[in-house]
Amino acid sequence: MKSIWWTIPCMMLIAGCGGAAGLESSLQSQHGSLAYLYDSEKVSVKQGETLRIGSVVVDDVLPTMTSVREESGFVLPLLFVNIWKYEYQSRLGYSQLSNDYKAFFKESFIEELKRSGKFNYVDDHGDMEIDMKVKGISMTAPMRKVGNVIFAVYAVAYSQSIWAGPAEVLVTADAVLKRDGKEIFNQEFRGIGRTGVLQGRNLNISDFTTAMIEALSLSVKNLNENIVREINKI
Amino acid sequence: MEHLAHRLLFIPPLFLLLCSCSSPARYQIISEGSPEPEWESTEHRYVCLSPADAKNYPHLLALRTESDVLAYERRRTDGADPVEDVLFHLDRDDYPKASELLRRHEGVIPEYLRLLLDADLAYEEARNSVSTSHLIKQYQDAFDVQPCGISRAIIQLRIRQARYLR
Repeated sequence: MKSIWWTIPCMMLIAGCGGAAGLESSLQSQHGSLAYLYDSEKVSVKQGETLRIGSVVVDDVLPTMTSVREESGFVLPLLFVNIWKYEYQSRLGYSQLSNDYKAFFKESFIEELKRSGKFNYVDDHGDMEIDMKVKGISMTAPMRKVGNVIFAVYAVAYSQSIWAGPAEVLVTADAVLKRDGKEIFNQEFRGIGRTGVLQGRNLNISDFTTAMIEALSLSVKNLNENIVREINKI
Repeated sequence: MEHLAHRLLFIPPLFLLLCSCSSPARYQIISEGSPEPEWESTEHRYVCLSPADAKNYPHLLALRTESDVLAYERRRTDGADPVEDVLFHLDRDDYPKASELLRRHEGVIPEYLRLLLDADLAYEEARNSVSTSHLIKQYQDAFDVQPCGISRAIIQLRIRQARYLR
C-alpha cells in the first residue's frame, strides 16, 4: 500500500519535471537529410540569356543542438484524481541533419533554376547574376503532454498523451538580381514549410525531428520556387 | 452440447481469417479515372497506370483487397505478360520476386513504371538501410516521367512514408 503512495508522486514527477529534458534527448536521437521532390513545372525550352549564381551566403541560422523549452505547465494533485498538462516548444539543431544545410540551400537553388527557370543556368560568365543571402529561419514546433493518474485506493489508472506539431518553418532571404552590374531587383523572399500533427498513444517522439526536417526542406523548396518565379517575370 | 461448443470454437478464427482476406491490398493499381485514393493512409501504396496500360490491364485495376488478389491468382497464367507479372507480384507483396522480374524484363517494362517500381522496391526491400535522400532522388527520376496527373500526390505520399521509416 505504501508503495502506491510513493508511485503516484514519482510518476507525476517523471511526467512533469523530467519532461523537457526527456523530450530533448528523444529528439536528439533522430537524424535525417534535408531533401525534397522538385515538382515545379519544368521549363524545357530556355530563353537566350544566361544566368549564374554570384554568391549564396547562409548565416548561422540554425543552432547546433536541437532543444526543447517548456512554455507552460501545471500539475493538479487532487490526491485521487491527478492531472498534468505541459506545453513545450522545440527548435531543430543542425546536429540532427545528415547533410550540410548551407550547401543544401545552394544546391537546391541551382537545381530549381535549372528546372523551372526560364534562363539557361551557367556556372560562370552569365548575362545575369543572382546573389542570395539567407538571413533567418524561424520555427514553431510545439509539443503538448497531457496526463492523469486516477487513484481509486485498490486500483490505479494512468494515462498520458503527447501531441507534436504542426512544425512550421519560415525562412527569409534577400535576393539581388543584376544584369551588367545593374540591379534588376533587390528584395526579400520568404519560404514557408509545414508538416502535420503527430499524435497517439504509440507516438514515437523522435519522429518529430523528422517532421521538423521535413518542414525545413519544404520551406527551402518554397523559397527557391518564389525566387525563380520572380526571376521568370523579367 | 459439447459438440456445439467445439463448433463454436472455430468461429473466432474463421471470422479473423475472413477479416484478413477482405483487408485492402497494400499496393493499389489505379488509373486517372479511379476513385480518389486515400492520401492520408500510411499503409497504401499507389501505382498509376498510363491510359494505354490501364486499358490493357483492367483486371489489375480491380484488385482492391487481399481476397481479390487470391481469387485472381487462381485464374491467372504465370509469366504470360512481363508487366502483368511484375504488378501481380507487387500486389501480393512478394517484393523479391517483383524485383527479380523487373530486372529480368527491364527492356519491355515502360520507363515510367520501371523507374517508379525501382524506387518502390528499393524502399520495400531495404527499409532500414536505404537513405531518404537517395530514395527521393530515385523518386525524382520517376516523377519526371509519370503519365498521370495524380502522380505528384502519389510520389509525395511515398516520400512522406519513406521519411518516417526506421
